[in-house]
Amino acid sequence: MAHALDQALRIGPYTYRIRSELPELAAPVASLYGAFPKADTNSYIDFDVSLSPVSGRPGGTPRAIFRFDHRDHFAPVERRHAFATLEWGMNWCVSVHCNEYLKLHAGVVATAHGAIVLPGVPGAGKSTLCALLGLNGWRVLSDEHALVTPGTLDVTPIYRPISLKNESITLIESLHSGATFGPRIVDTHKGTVSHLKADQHPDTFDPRPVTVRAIVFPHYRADAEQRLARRSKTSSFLTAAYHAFNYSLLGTGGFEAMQTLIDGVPCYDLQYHDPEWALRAFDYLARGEGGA
Amino acid sequence: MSDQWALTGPESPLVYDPGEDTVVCYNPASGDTYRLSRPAAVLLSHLSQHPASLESLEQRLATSAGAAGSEGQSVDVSGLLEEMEALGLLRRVR
Repeated sequence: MAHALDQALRIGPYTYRIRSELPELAAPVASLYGAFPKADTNSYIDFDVSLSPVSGRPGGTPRAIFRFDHRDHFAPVERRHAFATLEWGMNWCVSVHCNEYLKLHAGVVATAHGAIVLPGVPGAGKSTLCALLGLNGWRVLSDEHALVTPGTLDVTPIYRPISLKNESITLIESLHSGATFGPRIVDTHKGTVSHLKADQHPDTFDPRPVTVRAIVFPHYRADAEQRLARRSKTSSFLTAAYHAFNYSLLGTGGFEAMQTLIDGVPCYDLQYHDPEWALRAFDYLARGEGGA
Repeated sequence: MSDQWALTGPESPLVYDPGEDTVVCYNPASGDTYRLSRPAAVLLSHLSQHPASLESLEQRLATSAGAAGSEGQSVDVSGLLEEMEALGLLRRVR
């Protein structure tokens, strides 16, 4: 079957080849990935991914399957979830490979002064913060992976569209009516999902590492007091290790890489619910007023 | 003769000490990471050099506490050693 979509994109330090026979994927990929640097589909590909329709019983729900290197790794999904599945699959590629980095489950944003890493469990608000900051002049390096070079404070950018869920979509739309979103995909295992184009910064696609200046552990709490407070290094180490994809896999190297990172930057807890307040807190950190 | 205490594995645990009340300890033998109290870190550091008796470790901790100006804080060294044994960091040797 002919591919409605077949392109190779440079995404951070990696090259993805994205293929699909599903015509409905062409528009969101063009909209959200149109500005990404292209690569030759015959060049070296790190992650060869595809979304293909799968046959089911007549009259049944149309389904599609994500494949990596032409192999099935997951069960088929409803075809209406195809774009979200493509995005999750592309995340998975990095999450389970790429052990040249210490990988934290974290958003990463930056100004000219350096990067701030935002580790957090799903629901902590890291993608929402990345979206807010990205639409207010900050550079978004990732809303999913902090790729830290062991032994350094360097984090390698791996920007992709920001995955927003549920109320966060409405919030960002209400604050930035001109923002570009992918399709709104309902009834996924994470609820409603939509992807935000946040590559407005002129350096978005610059692959060079950025120096980490702070680590902020975000906590979205609708009814709690907002605060930005220093956090102990010991606690930060353990929480960041918990949020790492490969800390344990790297063994002693993971411990040493985490020690270098945590010891080298100030760490904070950020409890927030008001976007404007959160932006001011990040501006404060960007000015270096949080101390080293 | 009383029991001696020793590290479980051939490699010394790695410790990240940021100068707070607790430290982070990585046990290469198990791959596990722990938060340890400062007295536990002192014991671990001492045992990284050689096995030691309970009495010797109590003495070491008292010396360390004196140097840190915290003589008044009593520590149940025996209990601490047993906790570290349960974590797989230490073992008893006879």
